[in-house]
Amino acid sequence: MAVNTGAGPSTKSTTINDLPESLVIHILSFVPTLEAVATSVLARGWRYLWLYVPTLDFDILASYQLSRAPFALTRARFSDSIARTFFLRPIIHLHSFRLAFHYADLGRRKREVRWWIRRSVDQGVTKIMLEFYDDAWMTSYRGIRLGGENNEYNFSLLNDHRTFKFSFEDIMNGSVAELRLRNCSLRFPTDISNGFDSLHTLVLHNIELSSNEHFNSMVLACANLQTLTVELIRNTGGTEIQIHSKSIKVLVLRDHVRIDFDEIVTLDIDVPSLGSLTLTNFVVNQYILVEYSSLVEVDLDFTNRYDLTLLHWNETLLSLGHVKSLRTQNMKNGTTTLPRFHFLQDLELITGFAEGDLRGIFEFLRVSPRLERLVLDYTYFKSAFVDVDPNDVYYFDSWKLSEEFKRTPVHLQMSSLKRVILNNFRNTEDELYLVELFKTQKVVLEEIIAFPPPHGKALSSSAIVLWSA
Amino acid sequence: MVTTDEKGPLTAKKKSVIIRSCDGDEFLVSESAAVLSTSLKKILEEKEDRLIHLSDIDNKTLAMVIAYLSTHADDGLSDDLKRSFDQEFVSGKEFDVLKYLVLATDTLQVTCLCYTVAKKMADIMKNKLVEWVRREFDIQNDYTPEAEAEIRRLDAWAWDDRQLEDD
Repeated sequence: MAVNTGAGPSTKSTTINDLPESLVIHILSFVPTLEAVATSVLARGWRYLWLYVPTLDFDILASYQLSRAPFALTRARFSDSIARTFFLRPIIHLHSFRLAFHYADLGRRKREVRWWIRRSVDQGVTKIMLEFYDDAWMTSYRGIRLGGENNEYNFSLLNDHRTFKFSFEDIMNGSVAELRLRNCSLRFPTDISNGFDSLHTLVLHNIELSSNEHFNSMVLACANLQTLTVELIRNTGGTEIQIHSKSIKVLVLRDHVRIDFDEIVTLDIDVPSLGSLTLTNFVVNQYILVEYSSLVEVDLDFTNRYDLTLLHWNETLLSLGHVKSLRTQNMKNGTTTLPRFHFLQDLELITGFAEGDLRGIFEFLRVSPRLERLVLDYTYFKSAFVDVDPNDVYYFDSWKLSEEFKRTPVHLQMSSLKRVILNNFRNTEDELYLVELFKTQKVVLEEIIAFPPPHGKALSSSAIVLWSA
Repeated sequence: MVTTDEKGPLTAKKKSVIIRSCDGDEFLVSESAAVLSTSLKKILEEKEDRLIHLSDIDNKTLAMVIAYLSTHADDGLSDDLKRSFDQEFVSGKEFDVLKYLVLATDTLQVTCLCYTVAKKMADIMKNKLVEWVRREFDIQNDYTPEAEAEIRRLDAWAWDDRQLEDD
């Protein structure tokens, strides 16, 4: 039995030209578009390859960093290059279009971004990612001066002119399956009811929501939407955020910012086929969440705004008795009533290791008879880098376990628990006390693993096996 | 021809496949790892044959691909660990090695690895002078100087006046 494509290694010198065109095009699809265009000068075989690359990726900062020209000039050339690319490109399927741009709603350039979006939709684009850098970010991070008297940038203008208004109309009846928007505001067509069947994934980050009513209808209108992520939403458009959908399976809501504290803001989730829910520091006054049997995975984290939302956190938790996988903050001193988690197999707690925290862990174990994997994330370690008030009761209350607490015998209910993982493990006495406790109770426990906090730029650290059966 | 005689219910769980490279060496791979390659999966579905001969993949490349497949078939590893494995896997590899890897993953249809390797190759190309790319990737420039100048002129819109790296 043999697989032979006839393109095997040969004795002659190896060049990238040995690769089939399809592979070179695949490699070029990871290169920023303007650089891919520039490869046409490499050799004859490369002359027209870039035209067949199914991805377009334009980032003005990348262009600016390579350029010696002033920013305004770079920006003008950058815009022209995008337009040229669209003109030259044959009408062949476009997979993705990414644009990272500094927008200014001025003069002849006013409509260019919308034109590019429409052009990509005409070419059958399935994935659109738009990101807009704002002035403050450009100035503070890159030292780019945007002001100047005879410049098209003028600081006296209202900020509104710098905000790109994404029109959902532009992708209507297209084949866009995935849409990611960062730092812009949204415009909705007058008739939202159809034209968005292609949309499967919608990710909104730092979006100004000026009309909740339209947003709510939009979510309802996307009949095939599977994943909805809304992060850092600036809500100026009303008091009710409604997420009603028959199709959404994954819902991620993070960092809701209330503009007007006098109003009561409601989050109303009615998503019967929801499988996974993430609710992180999405602060509103009232949560309406119906209990769904389909929901298996939940991440509920209000650690940043603990004081405000303890009650909501508890209320939400009470309706999650049937989930299989849960990540959430630990409760304080057993003050919270937990539901009985009949099906919970996988639990991750953001916790400390003070007495109150341990009581919380014991209580979670008590109500979760089927728990197989427990992750304890000592995230408070991270707070050591930010300014945590040493008098903050929640963080530092009974920092060390008292001798009395340690002497009290504890019987843990952990009849199915196989694996314990300690994240951000600091090797403190309090953590080790808990490890010892688990060891003596073992039952079916197979191993206890710890991951110390990663050092420097590392994203992860290697595991330490503290104990194994 | 090597065939397996494992038919019992216990051994059936951990079936393995023998893969032979173009150099003639044979590698024993668990079936769960092999089926991560769409091509190998198809072969295994069509025939009961447990020996697969890959006539255009050499020892060194095949060993790397198999290491990748085995790691990704390991249920005991978390997705995070697999991701960092992927990063390690392509880092510091010579361009030639990556080239054979990308060919092999294309032949074997290991989509994830093909993606990772192609991306790594693209990263190496980024922000580099034309001369650098030609030299490092061993691309024979078959343009006449006049033709090259003409293309540079025509494509000037995409070039800006870049400060590129030549090291």
